[in-house]
Amino acid sequence: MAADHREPDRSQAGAAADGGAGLLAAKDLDLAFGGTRVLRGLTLSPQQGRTLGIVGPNGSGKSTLLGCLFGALRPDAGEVLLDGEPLRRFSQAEIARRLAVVTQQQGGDIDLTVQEMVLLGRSPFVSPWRAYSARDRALAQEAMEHTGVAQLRHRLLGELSGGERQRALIARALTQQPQLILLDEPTNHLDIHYQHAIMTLISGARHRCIVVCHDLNLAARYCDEIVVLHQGGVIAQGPPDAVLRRALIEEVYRVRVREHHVDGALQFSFRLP
Amino acid sequence: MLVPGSVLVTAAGIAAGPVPIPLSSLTRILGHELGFGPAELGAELESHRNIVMSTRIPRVLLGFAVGAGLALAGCVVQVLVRNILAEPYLLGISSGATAGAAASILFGYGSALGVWGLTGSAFAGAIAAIVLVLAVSGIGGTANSTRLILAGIAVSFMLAALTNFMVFASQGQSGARSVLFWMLGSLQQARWEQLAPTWLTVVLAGAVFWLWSRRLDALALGDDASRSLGIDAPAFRRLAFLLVAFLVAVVVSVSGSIGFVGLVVPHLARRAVGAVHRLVLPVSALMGGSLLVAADLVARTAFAPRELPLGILTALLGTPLLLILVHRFNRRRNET
Repeated sequence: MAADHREPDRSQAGAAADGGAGLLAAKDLDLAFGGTRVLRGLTLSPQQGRTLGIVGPNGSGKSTLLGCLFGALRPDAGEVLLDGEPLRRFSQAEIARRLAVVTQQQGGDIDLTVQEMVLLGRSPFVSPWRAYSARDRALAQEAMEHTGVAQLRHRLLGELSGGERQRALIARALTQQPQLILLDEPTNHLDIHYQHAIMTLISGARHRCIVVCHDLNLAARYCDEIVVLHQGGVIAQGPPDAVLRRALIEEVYRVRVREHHVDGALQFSFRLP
Repeated sequence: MLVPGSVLVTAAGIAAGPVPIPLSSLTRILGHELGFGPAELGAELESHRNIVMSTRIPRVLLGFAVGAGLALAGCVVQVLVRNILAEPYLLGISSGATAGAAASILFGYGSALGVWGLTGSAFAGAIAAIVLVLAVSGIGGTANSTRLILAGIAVSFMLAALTNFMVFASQGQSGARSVLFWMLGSLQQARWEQLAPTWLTVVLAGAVFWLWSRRLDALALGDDASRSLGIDAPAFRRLAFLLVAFLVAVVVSVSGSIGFVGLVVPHLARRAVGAVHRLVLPVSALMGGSLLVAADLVARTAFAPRELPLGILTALLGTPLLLILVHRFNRRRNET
């Protein structure tokens, strides 16, 4: 039984090299909360790039879409597809061996240390009868070093700053060795330094990522593919230069936009019309 | 350290009481019972043997199982609702079980099933209470702590009133007295035949909880995080609540409702070994068992020959900690 829990042995570097595995798509998603339709026939193509940014104004359905993509929310109609198969056919444990999720939800009063939390990333692969193996511990250590939280490993999560906490959560996701990492507004409430540090970490990951991102400039700089949501549907998907056009942003966000090129990346400044 | 400590407390619990029994006599009696001691005990030892075998040992062993069970239930419930103020007593689970037990005693239904009829009735009460509390406080995923505790207290009051009403309506003197025993909580009526079912339930539930250790760790991080780690949090929570309710029902059906063990012990255990459930669960079980045996020892001897109901003692000891935690809780919420 224990053997069934183990995934094929592969190094952290190999995770993204699985070719087509871990690709999410959505077809005609509809979802309403208490009479308000949040998603309206949303269709998302499998991502082409490494880092897919989901952008859109408040209420456009970004977080709702993300919830559907990892099975936390079940659409009223339509289908989420994982590697071409309906997501609902996968058990939660099977999904966990493919996808890792980082959301902004806070835990409660019971506080684990950073290391304990990061090690939990191995839990989908370890039989409940067994302790973590040396390899599990090595993977957790590697992830904590990669995200720069190794020296915080004995600190309680509740004692961390926002940026530290975010990096610890990403370390847990990396320890899971997923094919894809989903992140919900990972730069929320972070100062500018940490916003860029976190986005660098995400875009530099050897994993494919889908990031819900509030900040268009961060998305334009760090994502190699962008999805723009508007009123519960996808109105554009593609490389940043092709998608983030002035006219589109002005319409979706109801602002005036000026485009700049900074270090080769498209950036915007905004004012009200 | 905890294991020898538990053994020591248990031995002390057997030895001390209105008739103190020296440890040397105790070892000789146990040796006699296990078949490798003296064949004849003599008059004094024989009377001690009676006390030890008929009241002390069942009482202490039952007390240990009850304490361990309540501590385990407290640990798990606190994770399920993500709130360290939660415990079976405060969430109304114990009152529900008490009401169920009272109904069974006073009106005799389920009596055909013997001890298990009482337990079944207590279980139904416990489940009803927890379902009501969770429904009222609207906990789907993340619980609003204040609402949850308030709902628990309201349901506790309601069920206590219901129990009182049943006592009032039933007229029978003896029934009323045994229901009072349930409401105050006591190990006074411990019997040998209760030991096996109680220990079995506590050990099995503890083993299942222990196998769930990492799930519980993950749940402590939040529902999204648990889902990311492959756990369907709402489904898991329902299942775990069911097992907790069963455990509490069994415990309450033998000891009545003893509060605050499930609050105090997990708190102490986490302070000692951190929050990881692979450690917290066994440590809590041993601490809970020892604590309850020690508390029972005090309850039996402090006002001898009168006996203080155990539930009163644990409430006197446990409520100050609850007050401290509530105070700290408020301060932290205000800071953030």
